[in-house]
Order: sequence, then structure tokens, then C-alpha cells
Amino acid sequence: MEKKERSSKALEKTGHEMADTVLAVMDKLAGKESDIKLSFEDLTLDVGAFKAKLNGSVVLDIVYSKEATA
Amino acid sequence: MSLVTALGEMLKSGKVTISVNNIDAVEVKAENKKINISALDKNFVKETLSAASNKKSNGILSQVNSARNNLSMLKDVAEELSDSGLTVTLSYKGDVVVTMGSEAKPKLSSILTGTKAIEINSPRKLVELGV
Repeated sequence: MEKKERSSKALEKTGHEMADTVLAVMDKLAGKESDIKLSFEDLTLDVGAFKAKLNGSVVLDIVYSKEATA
Repeated sequence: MSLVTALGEMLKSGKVTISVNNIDAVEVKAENKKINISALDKNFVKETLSAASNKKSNGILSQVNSARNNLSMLKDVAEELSDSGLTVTLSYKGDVVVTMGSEAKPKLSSILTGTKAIEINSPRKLVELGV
């Protein structure tokens, strides 16, 4: 039970760190009308009880944005 | 546990390609506890690293501090990888630039990095990537 809790917390922390990094990169690309594409090819993930094989792609569209002026 | 180590333990095999505006920027390949990160777009890697460290490098002093913080962070990550039996390599233009983790065999670079878990394979390309 304790081990499951620890791995769940580690996974949560990893997710947060990944999201922060993606957010920082998206921030950099904002205003440049860019997109980031993640393509997966036979990607095998194994997190304890959770196992998955990913194929395909995810596209993050960074829409144009600029700071509001007074 | 750091993000890199957690991902290293999660990724068993396969390939992920990150592209920006239809231009391949980074390719990650995983196999048998080894992860190779190929930098395809130098500018994307530089911008991602600066965005991830979330610091503006104004002036020489802050650049030195930023480099010291990055090295300290890399050292912790590399030692964690080594303890987990994982190896992460960073490649650029077909050459291995840095090896971190259990398969790192540093020579003189351990004096600079202060750890045996980081091997600098190509200092010239490392500078070029701005790591």
C-alpha cells in the first residue's frame, strides 16, 4: 500500500514537472503561431500496474497571443 | 526522483519525435534501460533548456550562477540514473555529446563535473548546444 502511494506521488510529481516544462516551452512559442507535435512509435510505458504501448501523435497548437495594452 | 529518472524508469522501449512547425527538433529512443536523446534542432534545444531553467541570464555573474545550477542539477540527475542502472545519452549531428548514468566512463571530465556519472564525449558540441 505504502509502495503504491509512493509511486503514485512520484508519478504526480513527474506529471507536474513535465507540465511545467511544456508550459515554459509553450510560453516561448506563444505569439509565433507555432505548433509542437509529439510522435510516438511503439513507445512502451510501464508504471507498475499500468502498462501501455503508444503509436500516433499529439499536436499542441500554440495560438497567437500578446499582452493587453492599457 | 527527478523527471528524467522517472521517465527513464517508465520508458521501456520505442521512439518519440518532437517537432516544431513540422521540423523535427528532438528524437528520443529508448531500449534496454538506455535512452538516447538526439538534438536535431539546436535552437529548439537551447530555448527549451533556457525555458525549463526559467532564468534570464543577464550579465556574466548570473550566467555563471545559471551554469553552476544547471551542472548541480545534472549531477543529481546523473547520479540518480546511475543508481537506477539507467543510461541517458545526448547526441547531436550523429555524435554522442554527453553520457549520463550507469554507462558513463569519464576521464578528465569528472574533475570538472565532480561526479563519475557524467561523461563528456564531445566538449565542442556540448558548447555548441549551450548545455
